[in-house]
Amino acid sequence: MSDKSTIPFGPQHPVLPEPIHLKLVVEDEKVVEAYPAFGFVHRGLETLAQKKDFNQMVYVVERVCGICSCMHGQDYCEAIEELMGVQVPVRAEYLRTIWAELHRIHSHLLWLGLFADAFGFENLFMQTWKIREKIMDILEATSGNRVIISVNIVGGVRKDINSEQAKWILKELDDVEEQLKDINDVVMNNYTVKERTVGIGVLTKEEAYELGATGPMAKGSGVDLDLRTTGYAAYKYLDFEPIVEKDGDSYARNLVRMREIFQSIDLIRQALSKMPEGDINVPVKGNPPAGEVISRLEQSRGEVVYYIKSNGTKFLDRLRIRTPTFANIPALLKILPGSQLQDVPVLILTIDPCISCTER
Amino acid sequence: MLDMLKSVFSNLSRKPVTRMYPYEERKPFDINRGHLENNIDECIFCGMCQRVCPSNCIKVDRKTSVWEYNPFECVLCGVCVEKCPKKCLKLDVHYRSCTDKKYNIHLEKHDDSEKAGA
Amino acid sequence: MIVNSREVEISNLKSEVKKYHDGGYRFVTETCLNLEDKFKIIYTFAIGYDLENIHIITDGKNVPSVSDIYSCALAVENEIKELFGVEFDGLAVDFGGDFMLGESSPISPQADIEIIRREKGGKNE
Ligand code: SF4
Ligand code: SF4
Repeated sequence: MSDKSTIPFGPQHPVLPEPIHLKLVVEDEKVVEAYPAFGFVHRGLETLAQKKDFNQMVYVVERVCGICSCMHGQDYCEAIEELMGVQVPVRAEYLRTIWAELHRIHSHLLWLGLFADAFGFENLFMQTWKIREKIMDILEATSGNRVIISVNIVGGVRKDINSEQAKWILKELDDVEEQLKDINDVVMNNYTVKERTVGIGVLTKEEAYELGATGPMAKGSGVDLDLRTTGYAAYKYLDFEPIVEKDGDSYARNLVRMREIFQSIDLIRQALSKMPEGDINVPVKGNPPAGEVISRLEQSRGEVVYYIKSNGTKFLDRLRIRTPTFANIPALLKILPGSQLQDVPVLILTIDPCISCTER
Repeated sequence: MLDMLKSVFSNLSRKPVTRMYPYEERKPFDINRGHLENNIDECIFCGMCQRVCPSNCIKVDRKTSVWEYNPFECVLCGVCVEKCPKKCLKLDVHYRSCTDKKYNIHLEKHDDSEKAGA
Repeated sequence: MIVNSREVEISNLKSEVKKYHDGGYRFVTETCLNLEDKFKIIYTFAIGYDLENIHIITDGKNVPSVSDIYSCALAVENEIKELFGVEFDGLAVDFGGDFMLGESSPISPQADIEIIRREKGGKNE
């Protein structure tokens, strides 16, 4: 006796910070099919590129996503700089890297909190957000805003980090690292967490590659792709190895993100110690020449692709943003069927969804 | 389970990490982007801020010497402050207090430099 | 990376994409552009960290879907279908216009139509 019923999931749901709607076809407690629907926060930002000049667009693309906003701005600026042949100063590259890594830490901590909340571990949610507050303070003290920090401009960055601030950042990071180590033990060895994540939502390496998954989703399945190794911005001067886990379940993806936080702390330390003195931006004259450019970088959720077509005027012809969550949606649709209904929130959160990104 | 014990004890002896807002407020950082102010006496109504603003929330009228600004559309990016030739725009560290009505900031310069808020 | 995409005939599209698929490329994205009265669709593939682009020019009717070769293409093809009104043949799963748009949304909002302009702000709009 198996009756199929359809359960609407979202767009308003206690575990979802953002509006995604899923039609889940369930058989008893087992999900057999899932159909997504987006578009609740579609803002038409891609079309806006034809109405704002290319310098103003920096502030618009930063608002594509509230969590990795700095990296959107960075990617957009790198695309325009490549088109115009602008070489940004080395110090600006370092500063961009530092802010990007700070964003990665705060994004992963935010995700960890929400993820813990999704299976009812609210104490962990409280602890991670307490730690995250320190990162937010660093962002605020160095840029003037907590989240949308608006530091990137075409040709460099707008704000600088002086040596006093650098010292303070290092001190705060030590503190963050110490507190995180405590939490790390809890998250990774806790019975509750393991029960809810190990073996749940397995995505094999082949599937992850075939479905075009990116970021921790792919890295958790053993796909060794991290765009930072291509050495954009200051990553070419820094030492690091992409973090890869083999198992491909929710636990492995947790582990990737957890380890990435420690890696980011290390990258910031390296960057702060190696950062040379110098200018932080170069003046940019004129409009981008006609042409098409694709620029990619590694965000906290994976690879973001900016496609820009310029026609030689100050307005762009077309701006297209392929965000990491969009690339991970097919993978989500792959792991949902066959799962239990109570695991659906966990599975959705394990791709670290950013729905505003997906819809732009 | 024992992993958490350290956090438990340190949390027992530590001060709360949250603040009793509004009785206790955090001191803003020096470069906080709180709200935008214009020293209208210095402004030359060149319209630079209007041209660079990504959200088009400033309106400058050179003829009547009016500088109008919609604080609810402003995204506090601070570009106008950087580009203003007279440096009369300033980002104050304090946030604008909340309100139940939207309003525009309307500043005019007359010969006697009268300021009018609306 | 400056894009140098290779134009492909619509009739050859599937065999070209199949070649990339068999060559171990991963599917990155499709990008739809408005030309005068046509659409250009750019297909981006990646192997390792290198990108390859091909494109087709179409009038927006009966574009063969590549979602049977790369199943992950169905999300982006559904998006293009809804935002630009391009019709795909043989979509693996057709979300029937519910993917990005809702019941009362405008039809193909990103295709070349006049967006209502705001009155404010002088020159730069
Ligand atoms: S840029 Fe400065 S001087 Fe010019 S109109 Fe704006 S506020 Fe006035
Ligand atoms: S801070 Fe930014 S958004 Fe606000 S008025 Fe100035 S330029 Fe416009």
